[in-house]
Amino acid sequence: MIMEGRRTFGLLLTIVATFAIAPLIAIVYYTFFNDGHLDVSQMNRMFANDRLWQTLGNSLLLGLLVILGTTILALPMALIRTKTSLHKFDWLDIILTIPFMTPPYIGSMGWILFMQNNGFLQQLIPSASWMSNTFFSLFGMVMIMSLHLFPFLYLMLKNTLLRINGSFLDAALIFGRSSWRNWTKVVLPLLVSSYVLGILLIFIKTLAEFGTPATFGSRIGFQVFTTEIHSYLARWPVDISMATSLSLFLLSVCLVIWYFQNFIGRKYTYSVLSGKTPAVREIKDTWYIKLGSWLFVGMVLLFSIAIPYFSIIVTSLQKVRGNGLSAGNFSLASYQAVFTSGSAGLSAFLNSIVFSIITAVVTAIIGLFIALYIKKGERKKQQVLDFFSLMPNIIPGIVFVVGLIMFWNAPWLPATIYNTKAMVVVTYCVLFLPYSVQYTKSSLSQLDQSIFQSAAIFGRSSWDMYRSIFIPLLMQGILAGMMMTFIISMRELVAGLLILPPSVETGATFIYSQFEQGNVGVGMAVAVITVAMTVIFMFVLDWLQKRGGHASA
Amino acid sequence: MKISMTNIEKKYGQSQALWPINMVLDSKFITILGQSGCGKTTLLKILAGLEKPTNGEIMFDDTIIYSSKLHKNVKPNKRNIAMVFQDFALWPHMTIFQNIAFGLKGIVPKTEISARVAYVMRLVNMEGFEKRKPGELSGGQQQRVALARALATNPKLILFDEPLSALDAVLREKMQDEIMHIIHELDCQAIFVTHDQTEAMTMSDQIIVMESGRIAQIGSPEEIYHAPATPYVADFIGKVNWLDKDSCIVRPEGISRRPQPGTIAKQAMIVKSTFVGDRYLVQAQVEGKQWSFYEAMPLEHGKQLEVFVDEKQIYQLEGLQ
Repeated sequence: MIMEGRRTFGLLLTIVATFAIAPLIAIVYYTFFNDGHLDVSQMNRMFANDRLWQTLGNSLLLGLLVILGTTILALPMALIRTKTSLHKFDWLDIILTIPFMTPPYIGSMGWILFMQNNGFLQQLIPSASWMSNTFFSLFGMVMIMSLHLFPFLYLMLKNTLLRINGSFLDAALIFGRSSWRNWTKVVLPLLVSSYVLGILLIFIKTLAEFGTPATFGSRIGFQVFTTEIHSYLARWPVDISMATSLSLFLLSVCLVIWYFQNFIGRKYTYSVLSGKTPAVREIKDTWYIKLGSWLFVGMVLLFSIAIPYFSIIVTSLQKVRGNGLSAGNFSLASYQAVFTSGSAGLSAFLNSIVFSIITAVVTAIIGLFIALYIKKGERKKQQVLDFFSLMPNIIPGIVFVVGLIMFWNAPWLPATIYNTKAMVVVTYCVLFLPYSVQYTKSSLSQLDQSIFQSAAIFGRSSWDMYRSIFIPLLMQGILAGMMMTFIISMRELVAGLLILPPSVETGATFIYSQFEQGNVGVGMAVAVITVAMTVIFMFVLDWLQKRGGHASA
Repeated sequence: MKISMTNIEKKYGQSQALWPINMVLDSKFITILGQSGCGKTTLLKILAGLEKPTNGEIMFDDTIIYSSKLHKNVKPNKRNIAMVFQDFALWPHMTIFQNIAFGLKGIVPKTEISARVAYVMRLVNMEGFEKRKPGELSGGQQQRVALARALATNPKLILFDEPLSALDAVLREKMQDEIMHIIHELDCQAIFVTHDQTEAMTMSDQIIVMESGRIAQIGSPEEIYHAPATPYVADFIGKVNWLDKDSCIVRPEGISRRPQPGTIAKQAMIVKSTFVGDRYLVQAQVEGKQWSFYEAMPLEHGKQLEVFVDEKQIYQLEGLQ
């Protein structure tokens, strides 16, 4: 049938291997080889360094605390959205994904602006100044990261709870002797596997996170893997072999966790999907449950959206930051500055848009072919390609970035894209290919096998089949993947910081450097524009997916 | 046990899922029959206590199970009922033994639980599967386990929510037989929801036919077939030939090609003959209406002939004459 030839596999594997696997090999090479000789002294040097153990401790501690933080936020929220009368407010789900979609460094900047000395909190409530010191600590960092990552865990838990809600729970209601027993024996065991899968992913995401540690962590002197790797590469004295060793170490930690995750996924996941859609029943809450639920939701929305967004929007509108929140101190000057042609902010923003669009298109095309080849991943070759194309999802972005730098700097390459804008696009494509593959694969999996068979029988040529059957049917998934790729390319920070050619900036690096230099107004204006675009795209994405649901129903 | 429902109705917001229902049921095997969306599952779930009616009263013998006036609502697990679900609903993380034993805690002394599980597993012919998990069983086996779980607590009433619709035809007939057999052996009643009229006919002592949230008819399978209460029931159950629109029917068995005393002659034009295994189902045009009857041999398409309707088998629908 389609996309099954050996040549296709060879071609796709070559693409994936060159762009995604070669960088990882480069990291291993630069760590263990010195001038072509095997040399483990780098490794020894790393392990002998106290800072490594400090960094490792910090990263693991941060990961564990963020797991705790996201659990405190996500579990009650999932229960509220499935077990109380708030279950009907589906708009809450879109709102709750906003924190996750907000670039983490922008969220942290919002919190820093709010809590710092003479920040918005102290201007609004002067007596609350003692909070600042408490906040600028590991506690604040965990809170910011948990508020960013919890929607991910929340959605996983909520979907599992919804599926259990059907006849599994009805059966428990009839046969069970007490509701406590139903909870501990039926609901919790069924929930546990998706919870464990969720927190392991949260752990990997925390280890891989750069934005918050770079903006907030650096203020409180809390170093983690990503910031260490960055500083070995970006600060004098540059220590490349240290950076690659650390990357390799971080990579290994993530792979170990990922292995655990797979193991648990295989062993403890039950098919909790019963054929029937669970009936939606009217739920009548007592007043204190209702009040408590709304209070919780309100607090979460206040902390995860209202406060950081308030800070960045107000900052972008302020004339003079020192003058604080007073009536005459607002203007659109920062926005004017951004939209003046030739300004650094505008060119950075436009760079981001161009890079992101090219990335979205390229990954969509490659992703489509890979997805069509993988299909359900029943054969070995398909599984190999599936694994390699999704690898960038498990491996922290910064590791790939380091690998790409090493690979494209190799002296034996006849030509290199290093130090050009193409390098940025290639990096983005490698980092975000998994999104396009996953979106296309999931819309492919919704097509019945008979569609392929009828296409094979009635299609006049394979081009015909693609043009009039597969691409139109998959268009929705492809589009969704493109938008997602666009959104996350727009916000990518660490790749930009390490890879951009001199004097070229993206929106993200511009915001970061403006913030670091204390020139926050213009930076925050770009941040507001980026975030506004993200939110609009999210709503379009949601609409696209809903429309798809109606069309196929 | 006598199950009585008084003015039971159910609204979802503005839409009326069930119109007020009044009935008393005491047969051993009762079927609720109707097309999808007619409210049959809602009615079953109201009996189970999984759905709360908007209004009305339910009594099991002399015990009030639900009453909107008295604000009484006995919990599902206190109604002494059991249920077999369409999608089996066996908890996937528990073994078969644990699934069945789950409902026994607090009812049967701890030491007798394994004997009880073994007993119901024998009833459904599933001995030896206790240590497996639901995912390792076939659909038919899961259905047997679901039945065993329902039997284990020794309930007075077992509710079946289209339990056989996920099974293939051969297995379905076998399970129909076994369920009937087990229910008649034990001291309990069954209420069985289905959209399959043959299933309803073969299994039950009493059939409740439902149509868009209302009870269309309650009766034995014979009553429902020979004396349908409404045109809807007449059309829904078996094949029907209309003599007069919406009022006067005869079933295919009441038509023959031999003139006999007490028959009415009608002109028919043959449309087609279909072999149905033991005989031919003949479809014909009679006075502009589509009729069907049975013949031993096929009749040629387009043939004009006379058919004779047995007057004794003509049934006049009540209230519509």
